[in-house]
Amino acid sequence: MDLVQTAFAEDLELASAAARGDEKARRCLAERLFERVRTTVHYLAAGDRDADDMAQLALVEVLGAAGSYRGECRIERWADRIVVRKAMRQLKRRRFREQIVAISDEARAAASPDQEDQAARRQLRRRLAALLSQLKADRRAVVMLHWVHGYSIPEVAELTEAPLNTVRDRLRVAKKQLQKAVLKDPVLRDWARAMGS
Amino acid sequence: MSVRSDEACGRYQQLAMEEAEGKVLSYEERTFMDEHLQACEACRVEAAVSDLVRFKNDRDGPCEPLDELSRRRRINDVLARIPASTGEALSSIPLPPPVQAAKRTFGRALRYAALAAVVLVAVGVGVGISLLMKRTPRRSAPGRGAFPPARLLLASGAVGHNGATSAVGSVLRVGATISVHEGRAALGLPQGTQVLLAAETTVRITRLDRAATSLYLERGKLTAMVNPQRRASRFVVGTRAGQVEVKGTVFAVMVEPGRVLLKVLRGRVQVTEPRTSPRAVRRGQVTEIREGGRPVAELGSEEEAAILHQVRSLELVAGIGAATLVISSRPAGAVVTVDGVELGRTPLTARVRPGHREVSVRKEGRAPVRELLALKPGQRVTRDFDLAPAVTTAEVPGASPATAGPRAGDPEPPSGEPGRPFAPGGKNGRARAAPPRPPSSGPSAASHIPASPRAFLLEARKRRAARNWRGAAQIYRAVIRQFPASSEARAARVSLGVLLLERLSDPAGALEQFSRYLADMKLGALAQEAAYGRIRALRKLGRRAQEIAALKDFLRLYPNAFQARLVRRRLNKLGVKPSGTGMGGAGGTGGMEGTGGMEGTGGTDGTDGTNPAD
Repeated sequence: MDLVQTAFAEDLELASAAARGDEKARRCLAERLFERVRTTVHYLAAGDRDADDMAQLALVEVLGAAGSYRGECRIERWADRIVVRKAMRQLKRRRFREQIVAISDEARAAASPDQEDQAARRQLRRRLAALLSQLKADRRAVVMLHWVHGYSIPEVAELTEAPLNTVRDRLRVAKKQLQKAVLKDPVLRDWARAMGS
Repeated sequence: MSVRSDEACGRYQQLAMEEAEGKVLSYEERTFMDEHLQACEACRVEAAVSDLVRFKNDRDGPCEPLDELSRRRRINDVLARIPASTGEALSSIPLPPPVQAAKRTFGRALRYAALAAVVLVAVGVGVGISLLMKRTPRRSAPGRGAFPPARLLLASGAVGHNGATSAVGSVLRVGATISVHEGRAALGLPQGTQVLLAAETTVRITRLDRAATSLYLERGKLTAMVNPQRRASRFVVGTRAGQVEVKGTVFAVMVEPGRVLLKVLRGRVQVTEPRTSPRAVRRGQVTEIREGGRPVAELGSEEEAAILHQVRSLELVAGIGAATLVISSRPAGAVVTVDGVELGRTPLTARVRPGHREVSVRKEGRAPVRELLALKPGQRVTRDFDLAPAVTTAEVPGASPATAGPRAGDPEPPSGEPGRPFAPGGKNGRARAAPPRPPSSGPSAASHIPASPRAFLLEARKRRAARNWRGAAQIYRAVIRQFPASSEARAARVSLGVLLLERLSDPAGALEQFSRYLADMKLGALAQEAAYGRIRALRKLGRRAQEIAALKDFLRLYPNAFQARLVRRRLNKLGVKPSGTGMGGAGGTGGMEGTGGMEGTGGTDGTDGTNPAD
């Protein structure tokens, strides 16, 4: 426990200060987690135009829970768990709105030209996020945590509080679905072929 | 795909899974995976896709990067919503592990006991209520329970309720007729459903109970965003030609003099017309409602965009926990946009979701005004804007006719006075758009450069996307020169520095830009990036002593920054022991490798998408 506490002492100090109401610590924590939370929620929300608002709410929840951080892992990892749960809860409540936005995103994504460019990669990611939205929420969360954040499967099981075999199964099915969807999508298929060749 | 190939894919997937679970693969297994990837397109696609989405950088996501102003606004909004103190971190209450475990076990037992007690009480209450219900006569269905009423959420222009002027927030009951003569109105209905009424629209509420919410559209246009309804609950819009029933969708109904049109953006609706069996209209379809039915057609992209715009207005207004925004202007009739979404024309009253909102008011021939408002739940904010006459195109430096003045229907309203993007409301809540600055010399490509600093940055971004680095640098310099006091100019300094350092091989120029940003904005939002850029510029210039000082400064100020690990490594390489950084690499944020430019040639594509001025 001592060793663990030493390894993440800075994070722990920051979280404690934020929990006590230290404005600077709160701002520092918010700045540090903002983009990560935003990216996570945007993947989960699959291009929903309210994703930024959802990310904001998730960050509020993370900062509000700063007092419960024990310093047992990196603070980003601790925050991921809260963000994923909060975002999934919100998404379950308002599924149809996210689909409205998928239409407009589809229209925008069709114009992605240069694969070298960062903006084009972002378009591809957005296109992929639209495909991710077709997956069931629990499968989407597993793919997101495993692929996007690079968590191992046992870690994903811990984060989503699901049995290991369930996570394995979700990942297997999700990969298969996503593979099929990507091969049907002309832009992603061409890009993936170009990358693989 | 053959059986053999399926088996190979299965083995590949199995090995990938084992690797993901932490197993170290043998040489044979690794070779098999590599060979399989060469041969199998499906697995190759999967590998490419997983690489595409891999989180290498905090901003490496599917979302557009936020401009600095929006980013800061959102962070401020988050900070404003957290209570003053959320309690001490658990670890600061040191308890030896056995005690903690015992406490947890005790706590768990206590929770189970409490849960059991709650269940028992609930069962008891349920039995009591059912006994009571048997004794008391049942009341009629519509009056039973407190079913939430409808409310007026937005009123812009002349909006009447049963013949009288209606106030935003007022309760609307069955039988209420809402007429919008000019402007627009939004209604909040039970179950989170919201409808937007266009100008020249009259709607009557015909039913409002648990079984159904029903409106009758006498004339005009109604756009509805219907949340999924509870089981056995319906949402119906009646018209003279037939009725539309939905379960959860977005659609628009228009009663025009000669016809009644239905457009469905999302979901599926059922149309019932006289002497015709009900028919379904799906997403992306448009149809005329009339006796005998009409064939459906595809919704055009412009119609779709128009409905989507109305949906955005609806998403901005809210019933519960909203703030009331009252906007008026002199002259009246100015277009009011909130966070880029057009809400209506002045005088306007709306119940808007709380948070930091950017309100802009514009009218043709007048200088537009923008103001940032921090709206709290239940708060009422009143603003009265005096709109000063706008300057002509010729008076604005570098303005092209297409971008000089505000236009009705502009999705992104141009900012106000150059160099002063916001016209603050002041203590009395009145704001006045100040006269523009005198003309100054613009860049050589003046005819192509727009007038607002934000538009400058957009132009720079376009040039960067086209890999026109010199062109982008020219635009950044122009915005710094023309709008020196704006936040965009400050962000442009950092962007220009990165560009000079990474693309234009001008570390001296980059150093100047980073240093000037830091001199102006020591605690600015981009200070960390500027400080890191400065280190890289000093390194390229070979100024060792200054670089070491900058590295130490960086670690002192940003010990947890994602660049801190690289900074420590560089200090070690220079033979300097990092001071006050006992955490070494472990304190960093991990997973951020490959984003910086401390090694090799110093950051290339990795930083391209994170341009601060975007």
